[in-house]
Amino acid sequence: MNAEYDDRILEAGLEEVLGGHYPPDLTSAILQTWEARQQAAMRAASAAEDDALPRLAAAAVLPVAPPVHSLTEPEPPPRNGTASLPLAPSLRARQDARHHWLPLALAISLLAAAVLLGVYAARQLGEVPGRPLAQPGVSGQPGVSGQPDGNGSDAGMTAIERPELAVTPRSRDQDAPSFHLERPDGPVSQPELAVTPSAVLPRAAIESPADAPQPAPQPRKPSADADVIASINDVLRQAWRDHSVTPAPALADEDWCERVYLKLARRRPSSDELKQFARDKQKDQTHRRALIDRLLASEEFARHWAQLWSDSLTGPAGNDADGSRFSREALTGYLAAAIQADKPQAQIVFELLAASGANRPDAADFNGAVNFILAGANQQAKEATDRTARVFLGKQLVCTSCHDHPHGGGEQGDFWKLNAFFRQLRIERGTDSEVLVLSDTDFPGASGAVKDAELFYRLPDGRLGMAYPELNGQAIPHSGLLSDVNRRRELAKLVVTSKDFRRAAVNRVWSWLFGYGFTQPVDDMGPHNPPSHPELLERLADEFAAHDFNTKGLVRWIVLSEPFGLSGKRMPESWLDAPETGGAPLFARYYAPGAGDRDVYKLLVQAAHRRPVAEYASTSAMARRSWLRPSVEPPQIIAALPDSQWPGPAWLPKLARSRLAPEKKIEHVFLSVLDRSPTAREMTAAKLVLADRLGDPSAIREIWRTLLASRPAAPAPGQF
Amino acid sequence: METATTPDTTGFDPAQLIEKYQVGVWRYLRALGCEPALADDLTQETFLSVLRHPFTDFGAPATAAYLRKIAHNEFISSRRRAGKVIAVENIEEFDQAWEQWAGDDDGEAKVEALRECLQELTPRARLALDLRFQKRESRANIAAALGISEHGAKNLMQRAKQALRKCIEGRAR
Repeated sequence: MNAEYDDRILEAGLEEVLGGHYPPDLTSAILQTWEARQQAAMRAASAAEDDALPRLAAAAVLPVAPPVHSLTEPEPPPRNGTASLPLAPSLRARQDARHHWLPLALAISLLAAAVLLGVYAARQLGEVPGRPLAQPGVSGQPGVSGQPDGNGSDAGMTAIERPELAVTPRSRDQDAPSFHLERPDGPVSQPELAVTPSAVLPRAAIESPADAPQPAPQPRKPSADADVIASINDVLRQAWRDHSVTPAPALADEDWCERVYLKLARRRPSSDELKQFARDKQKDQTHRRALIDRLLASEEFARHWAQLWSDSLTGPAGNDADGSRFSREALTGYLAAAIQADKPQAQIVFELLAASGANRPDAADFNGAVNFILAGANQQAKEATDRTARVFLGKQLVCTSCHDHPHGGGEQGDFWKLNAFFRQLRIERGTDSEVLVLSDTDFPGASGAVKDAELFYRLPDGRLGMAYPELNGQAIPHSGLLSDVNRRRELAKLVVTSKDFRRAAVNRVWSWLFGYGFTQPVDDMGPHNPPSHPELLERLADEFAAHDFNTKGLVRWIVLSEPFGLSGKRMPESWLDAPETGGAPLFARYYAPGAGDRDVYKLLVQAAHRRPVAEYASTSAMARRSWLRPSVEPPQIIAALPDSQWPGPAWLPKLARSRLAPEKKIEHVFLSVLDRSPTAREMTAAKLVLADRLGDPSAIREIWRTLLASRPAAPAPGQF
Repeated sequence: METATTPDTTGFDPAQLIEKYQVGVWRYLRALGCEPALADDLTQETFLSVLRHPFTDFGAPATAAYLRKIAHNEFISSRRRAGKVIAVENIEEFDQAWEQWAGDDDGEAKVEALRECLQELTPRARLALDLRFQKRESRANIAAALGISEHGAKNLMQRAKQALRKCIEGRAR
C-alpha cells in the first residue's frame, strides 16, 4: 500500500472534519444543467435543420449551470456574419454578407460625416457640448475636490450634493428626508410628511452612476395592485411552462387563511377568525384582500415583522455577553412603531443609518434606531459595515476586505470604502451606566490629515491599503470634519437611492414569505449569483420604489399572487423545482415551512458554530469567531432566552446520559420535535453540535431548541 | 439494464443516480487534490458526462468505479487546462487505497471514526492539525504557534496522522 496516497486520503478527511468542507448536494444543479444542455442541443439541432447556418452549434454545450431564467430566454439573434462560429459559412451566408456590405458602408460614411460636423460646431461654440461639470465618484475632479472649475461652477458642489435629498432638520424624527419620486403625474406623497418642492428627490439621486451610464429613464409610474399581481403570476407561469413543471394545486380558502396568519401575524387563526373569514367569503369576493389589509394594519404584523427585521439587522449579536451595548427590545420597538406608522422602508433605513441619540427608553434623548449601529459598532464598526452591505444592499463584501471577490461580487477594498462611512461614530456612556449615546464627531484620519481623512487596512501580504468613503463608485468629500460632511448621512442617502437597496428589500421580503428568495442566500446578490427570476425581481423592485417603498404594499402583492396560494404538494413531474437541494426555486409549490434561511440544516450548522470552544482550541477558534459573525442568521429565539426558560422536556437529560449511539439520540430528538427522521446532511450537522459532548445534556438541548425554532410558529416557552 | 436519455420516457431516474454516488465522487476528487470548488465542478461534469450517453447499471461497485474513472479523467483534463503537473501517477494504486478507505458507504464511517479519533489526540497534536486543516496555516506559523522548529511541527503532525490512522483501523475492526 502506498503511504503517500493513504496520507492524502486522510488529509482530505481532515479537511472535511476540521476544515468544514463537507460534500455538497449537487443533485439539483446537475439536473438543471443537464436539462439546459439537452434543450440547447435540441434547439441547435432544429436550427440546423431549419437553417443551413450553424449558429447554435456553440451553444450545444454550456460550460456552467445556467440560472433558471436563462433557460426561458429566447436565443439571442445571430450576430452579423458568423466569424466566431467553428464551421465555415454556407453559400447562403456568404450571399447574405454580400447583400449587407453596401448598406453598412453607407451607414459608416454618414456616421463619420456627422462626427466631423459635430466637432466643427463645438469648436465654433468654444466648448464641447455635453461635457459634465464633475464626474461623480472620481477623486481629483474639480467638482469633487471643491476647487473651482473652469466653468465657474459652484466650488463646493459635489457629485453627491447636487442630487441631494432635501432635508430640513428640526428634530431627530423629522431629520430624515422625504422619499418621494418625481413623476409625470406628480408625486405620491405620504400625508404625514411635509413635502416642499425642494423635498422632491431629483432623478439623478435615484439612479447611481453605476446603474445609469446613459441618461436616466423616467421613473416607473406606479401600477395598480392588480397589474403587479398579474405580472408576478405571468412571469412564474411562463417559467413553469418553460421547465415543464406542473404547479401544485391551490390551497383551500381555510388553509390559505391559516398560512396568511402564520406569515403576517406569526400565529394560527382562532376558530372565530376562521368562521369570520368563511362568512366574509360568502358576502364578498374580496375577502382575501380584506383579511390581508386587516392583518397588515394590526399591531401583530408590526411586531412580528419588526422582529424579523431586527433579527436581520443585528444577527446573533444578542449572544454577546456585553448585551448592554445595545437594546434589542428598543430596536424592535422602534421598528414596530415605524411599520405601524406606515413609514416608507427607505425612510426607516435612512433613520437607522443616520440615527443619533441614546439607546435606552429611560434616557432623555432616546432613539431606538441607534441600536442598529450600536449592535455592530465594535471593532471599528466592521459588523455594522457587514450588516449594512448584506441587509440593505444584498451584498456580502467581507471577502473584499482582503481581496477581489472571487466571482465578481466586488473589488478589493470595497468593504473598507463602506466602512469609512462609519469612522465618525462617537459612542459615549450616559449618566446611567446602562445608557449609551450615539453621535458623530470629527474623524482625523489615520495619518492625522483631517481634510483628507483616510483609513488604512492591512492586506494579507502585510502591505497597507487605503480607503475613503465610497459606495458603488460614488465618492463623497474626503474631509473627516463633521462640519464639512456627515459621512453616515451621506451613506444613508447613497444606500436608499441605489437600485441595490430596492432589489435587496424585495428579495428579502419575498424570502420571508416563500422560504426562498430569488437568490440563495438573499444577502449575496450580484453577477456571481444571478437571481432565479431577474425580470420579476426588477419589476417588483421598480414598483416598490414607485409606491414610495411601501413594504405593506409589497407584502400585499406577494400574498395575493398565485404561487403564494399553492399547496406544498410536490408534483411527480416537478422534480426540477427543488431548491432544497441547492437549485433555483421555481415557486411551483409552496415550500415546506421552515425551509429557506431557517431550514434545519443551516440552523444546526449555526448551533455547531455556537458550541463552547474547547480549551485546546481557544486561541485559534476565538480568533476566528471574533472577527465577524457567521453569515447565516439564527433566529433570535434561540439566543435571546436563557436556558432556564427553555429547560425542555424531562426526558432530554436522560436521553443525553443514555448509552445510545449519537445517531439514535439525534433521531429521537428529531422524531420528538419534527415528527420525522433527520436527513443525512442534518445528521452530519447535528453530530457537529454534539461532537465531543455526547453525554452533555446541554448539547442535546441545543439540538432540541434549534429544531423547535425551525418550526413555523414556535410555541411559547411556558408551553413545555 | 437502464438507459438514460430523458427521465420521462425511460423511467431512468438520474436524480437517484446522482444522489447515490455524488458524495463518493466528490470525496474521491478531494482526495485526488481538488479544492472544494473544483471538486463541485468536476463532480457535476462527471455526472453530466455519464448522462450524455445511455447508462448501463451493473451494480453499485461497478458504477462507483466507472464514475471514479470518469472523475479522474475530468481531473486530469482540468489539471492540463490549468497547466499543472498531474499529481497522481499510479491511479490503480490510488484507487486501491481509496476503496479501502471508502468501503461501501463512500467513506462515511471512516470520517465518523476520524472525528472520534481526533478527540483522543494530545492537545498539542490536535492544535497542530487544527492550525493546518482548519486555519490553513503554513508549517512555519504552526511551528511558531507551538514554540517548536518547523521540522518538529512536521514530525508532530506526521505522528498525529499516524495515530489517527491506527485509531481508525482499530475502530474498523
